[in-house]
Amino acid sequence: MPTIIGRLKLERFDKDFRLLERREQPMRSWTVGLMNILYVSHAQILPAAPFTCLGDINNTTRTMSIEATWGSAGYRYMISHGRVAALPGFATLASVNSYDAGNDGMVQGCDIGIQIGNDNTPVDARNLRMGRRIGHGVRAADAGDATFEAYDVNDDASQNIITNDNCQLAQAFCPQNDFRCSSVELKLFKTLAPAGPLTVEIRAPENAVSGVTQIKPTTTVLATGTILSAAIGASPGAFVACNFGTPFDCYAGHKYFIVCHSAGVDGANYFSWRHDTAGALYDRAIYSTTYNHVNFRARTLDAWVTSSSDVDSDYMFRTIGRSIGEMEYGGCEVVHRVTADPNDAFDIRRFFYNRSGGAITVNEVGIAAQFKSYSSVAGARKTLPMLIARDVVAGVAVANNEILLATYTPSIAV
Amino acid sequence: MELKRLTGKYQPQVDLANRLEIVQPDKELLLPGELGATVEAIVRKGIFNPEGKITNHIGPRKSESFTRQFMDFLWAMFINATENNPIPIRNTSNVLKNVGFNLTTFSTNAAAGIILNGIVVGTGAVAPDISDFALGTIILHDAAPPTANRMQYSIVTYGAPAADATTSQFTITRSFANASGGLITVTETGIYVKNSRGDTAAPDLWYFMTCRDVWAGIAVPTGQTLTINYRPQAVV
Repeated sequence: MPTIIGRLKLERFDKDFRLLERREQPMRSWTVGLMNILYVSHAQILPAAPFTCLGDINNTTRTMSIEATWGSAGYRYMISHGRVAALPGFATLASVNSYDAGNDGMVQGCDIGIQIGNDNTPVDARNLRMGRRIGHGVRAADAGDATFEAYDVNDDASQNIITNDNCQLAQAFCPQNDFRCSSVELKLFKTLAPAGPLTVEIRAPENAVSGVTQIKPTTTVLATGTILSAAIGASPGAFVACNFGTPFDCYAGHKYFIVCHSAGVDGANYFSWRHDTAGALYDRAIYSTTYNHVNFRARTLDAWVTSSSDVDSDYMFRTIGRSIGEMEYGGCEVVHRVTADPNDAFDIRRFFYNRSGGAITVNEVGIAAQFKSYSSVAGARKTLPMLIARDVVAGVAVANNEILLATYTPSIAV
Repeated sequence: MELKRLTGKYQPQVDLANRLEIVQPDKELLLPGELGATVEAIVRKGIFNPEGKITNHIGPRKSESFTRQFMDFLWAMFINATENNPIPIRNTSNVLKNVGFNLTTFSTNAAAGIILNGIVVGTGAVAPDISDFALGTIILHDAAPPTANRMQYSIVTYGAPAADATTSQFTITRSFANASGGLITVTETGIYVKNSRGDTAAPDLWYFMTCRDVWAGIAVPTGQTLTINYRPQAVV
């Protein structure tokens, strides 16, 4: 009886493309992400009543829908829904919706198509991301903790976290490499004796909203930790570390927020975060039509304000963690369609080049597809990747200068 | 403690619950690594009465599942095929149509009375093949009952995706009421999807079969309603 089954093939080549190793195994791997994408299409879920799913490859709750018809070209309105074919590396592909705010209609080639990683946790149909993705690039694996994205100079003022749970501060960052973020360091001081602790979180950004100049943190907490009041000194401030109980894998080119808040403060006893309000500012933050950098203050919980006095600065931060090494992602090809009744199959394949300087072991392979998170509420829209398949493999050690070819072959076979 | 000898006869009374239905045993469902569908047929007394007494219940069982057209659309989705370089896909009229992937692709959300897309039923009995492009013999919608050999097609409804550690799925449901005055035996079911091309004002609308199942025969007496649940499913 024809269902769709599949094979996963991994082939390792030397730098001259001589085959060193070939492994093949049944594909085990379609996950709930594929069901989400198929459901939205079959049921024609519209932005007025989108489907809420958890979520994109940053474990963030998103709404999904097909796009509403637009103008007279509605039915021709090509959408990004379910695309797997991808450009190499960080090359971006537009979602074909020129109405998207800023860069949120774009998706990086390495974020969709075949993914690789080195975590061998068994596949769960609810997997939303790779266990630990091997990112695109040439970075060698870190032997110990390293500083990744940071902005830690030129602070000239501070902002207070001053009212019991009535004030949150958020600073955006955008990593240049995939890394497992285990802690952050923030330049802080305290006034008098706040009870604390200071809660520090990592969050993803909201969907872009056309015509709105800043994109705020979602309510989904990706990582959290606390800093005790005793660990924070008085003015003028110093960098203090916050360790996350569960580290979070941050992806290159993805935007995140560091969010701080505390229930243990009041009008006289509070924490302050140093920031730079002038001069050369951190410019890898979220797109804004008005500002080149984005941070936020919330006067009530998650009610982020957007006035220039709140956003036109950057807080002092360092993100700390480790990379497991990188491989260069080629383009993801969807090719070789073969139809010979009663069989029908095609290949999804991708080359990965190891130029990191050391060996990298691949223990997992997956597929991500593109989807549009689109809601009629404030016209919010964002093009995002969603994991639709994941397989665990017996470790394939790819030495420096070697090439890995991963090929999925879904097929109907009687 | 003194033991007492039980005397007399004890005759336990065993009664059947006041309920009668025919339940077919489940057949093998999807295996790990498979992407397919399960299908279930429920016959109830009454016309579109969700509380009607169940008179027959088959499944859920593994659907005989996808046709070539499903793979065609999966391919079109994965490469984001456009009208500029479309994919030829055979429609329910056995005509190859040049298809671009757009917002209507895979649409099954048919209104009541529409037999062009959504779940459809028929009386054909030829074994399924991946090259099937339509039901053998579709049962037409009964717009003015009673009409012999016709059924009333309901609107298509859905269950949102859900997943546990091993299985993810969503549900497509449609009911077919028999007010024809006579017995109708359904022997095939399928899923028709819609795709379009052109402008909103007057687009080309095409229909394609992505799934077909043949049954030994689901008897739907007059005055009763058949409900078909298709559940696209993946098992890891």
